[in-house]
Amino acid sequence: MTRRALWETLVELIEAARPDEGAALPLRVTSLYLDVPLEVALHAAGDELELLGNLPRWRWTTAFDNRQARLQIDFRERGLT
Amino acid sequence: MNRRGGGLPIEQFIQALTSQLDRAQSAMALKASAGLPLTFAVKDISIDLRAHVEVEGSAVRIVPAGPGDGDASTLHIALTTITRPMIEENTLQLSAEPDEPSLKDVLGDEVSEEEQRRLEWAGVHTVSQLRELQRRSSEDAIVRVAQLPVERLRAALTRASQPFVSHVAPDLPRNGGRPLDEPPLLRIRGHNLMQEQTPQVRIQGEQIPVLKATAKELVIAPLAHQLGGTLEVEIAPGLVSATEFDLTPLNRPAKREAAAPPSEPAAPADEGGEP
Repeated sequence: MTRRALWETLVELIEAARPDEGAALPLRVTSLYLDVPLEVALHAAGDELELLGNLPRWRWTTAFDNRQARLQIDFRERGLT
Repeated sequence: MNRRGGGLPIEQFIQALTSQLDRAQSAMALKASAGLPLTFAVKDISIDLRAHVEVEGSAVRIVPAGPGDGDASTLHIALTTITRPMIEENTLQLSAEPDEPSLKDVLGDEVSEEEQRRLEWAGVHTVSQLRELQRRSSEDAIVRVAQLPVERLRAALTRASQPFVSHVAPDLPRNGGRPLDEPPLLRIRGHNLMQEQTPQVRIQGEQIPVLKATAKELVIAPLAHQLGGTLEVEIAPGLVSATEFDLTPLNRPAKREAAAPPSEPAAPADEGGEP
């Protein structure tokens, strides 16, 4: 499984929290707080250092998996500027 | 990327993290601009990273914990969004002038890589910032931050105060309104070319009139036989720069100059022009 950059994981998580457009009630998410385990790795691409951040692949970690980090992130809705 | 011994400086990790947040923010804004008027912004983020922490000199390095690393440390990093006024309020403004040489360029081996790194912690990247910090704080403050012996700091500051000539060129297009049969004015560029008083400029030991003086540029009026040789700029007793230059081809008859105006040759100064 290809590891993703942290930003891709964050965008996927926030997008997953948006209600379906066809929802019966006109709801919208105004804030989102996540507290998730995260597999962190560093990837060197030339001179750039990219931080990879992925949700655990399995529910149970094995002795062969890297130690997981824990990520807490608070998103707030805001208007486009 | 600067990785030694498998460890990564912690500031590089934080830079990588903030870079990811920026990219996430841009991607969300892009998606939202395609249809929705609202997007999400990161308000706070914290991460508990399991890692081994190493200290190498003044650098704190981390190595992410691998499988089975039971005794790894937990690094709790919390970031929050701040506004531009908050940044400005909490940052000591030590402005660097454009084209200013770095500390390393000027001080060379006078300060070690480690000492330079500690100075950078204090926001000192250039010589003018070092002098500004000395003026605003004190020698003691710099000694404490950079853990530099005071004698070495003084030596570094003295060296940083030396005048430095990078370029000597004729002022041909205007020539200060001088007749064409007179030798051109010379523009001397560099840094630390003036302190409180107009510097003394000598060519081959002869005093040259200084028409204009700033820290970065001098305009002098040499005689015809003074268009080459050793140029000395003395900004204070003992603070002298000596530079070899040769613009003698400019010393030619006026009529020839009037018939075919010469291009503006420049004599790059000897980089090693130190006292």
